[in-house]
Amino acid sequence: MTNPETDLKEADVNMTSSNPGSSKFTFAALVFVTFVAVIFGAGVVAGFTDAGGGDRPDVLFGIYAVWVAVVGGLAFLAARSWSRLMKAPKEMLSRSTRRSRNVLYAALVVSAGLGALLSMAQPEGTSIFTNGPLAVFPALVAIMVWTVGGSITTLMWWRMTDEHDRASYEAGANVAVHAYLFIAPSWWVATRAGLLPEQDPMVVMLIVAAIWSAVWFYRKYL
Amino acid sequence: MKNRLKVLRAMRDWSQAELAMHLDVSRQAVNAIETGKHDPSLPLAFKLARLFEMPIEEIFDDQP
Repeated sequence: MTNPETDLKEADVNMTSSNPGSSKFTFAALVFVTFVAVIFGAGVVAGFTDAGGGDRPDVLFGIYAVWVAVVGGLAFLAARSWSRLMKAPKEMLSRSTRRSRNVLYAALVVSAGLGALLSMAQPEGTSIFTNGPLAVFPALVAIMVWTVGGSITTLMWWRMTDEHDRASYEAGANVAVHAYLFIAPSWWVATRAGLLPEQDPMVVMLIVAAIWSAVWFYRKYL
Repeated sequence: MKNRLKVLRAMRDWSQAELAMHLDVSRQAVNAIETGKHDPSLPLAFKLARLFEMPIEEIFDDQP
């Protein structure tokens, strides 16, 4: 008589259903790179025009042609990747996982749209990372989307996701808050001593968010 | 916390994704519990016990 607890092979125990995670990653990466190419190309065109490049329509046409070719190529690859993803066997997802992922995807799309809106709403030209002035209306839209939409989306995600995801998120929050407690005062002191430039709250926020995301990712997936 | 989840799952010929569906959690959550990286909450532990039709103590072992 066999003992199932001792006769189980590791391969049997570790089996999982087909996991199209890599296809999803490829598609997401292509969408991200396409988005960056759109923004970067807009920046190149704006910079060239501001530098008096409008007098050289042949060069401007060349820049447009390269921009369209690169973005078009990337968009084509993304579309092909999406098509393959749709044909692949569906990943088995629990209801809570599917719903929380949908909220996450929606938040990413809204965030990308918000970034594009802000980068194009600057009087001095297109740029993502700047502290330059903004037009009032796009700024008000961005503030509303971020404060109201962001908090509602976060609450929805929190209520939908499972306890392991919440625990990973909490661990990330814990480390991130401590990182903030160490970074912000240190930078403040360093500025007063003339060692660093004035503190930029967005840089601190990005560092804290990156640490939070890294810990969450490590705890959830690794 | 040590547990027999991996063995119990395999005895039913379930993948991690299938068990996750039964528990309404992610596959990563099942993996984290199996490998002892995440201790389940009491509600989830009871859910597991009901699913495998055995007491919690027979699934989880808190002895080092």
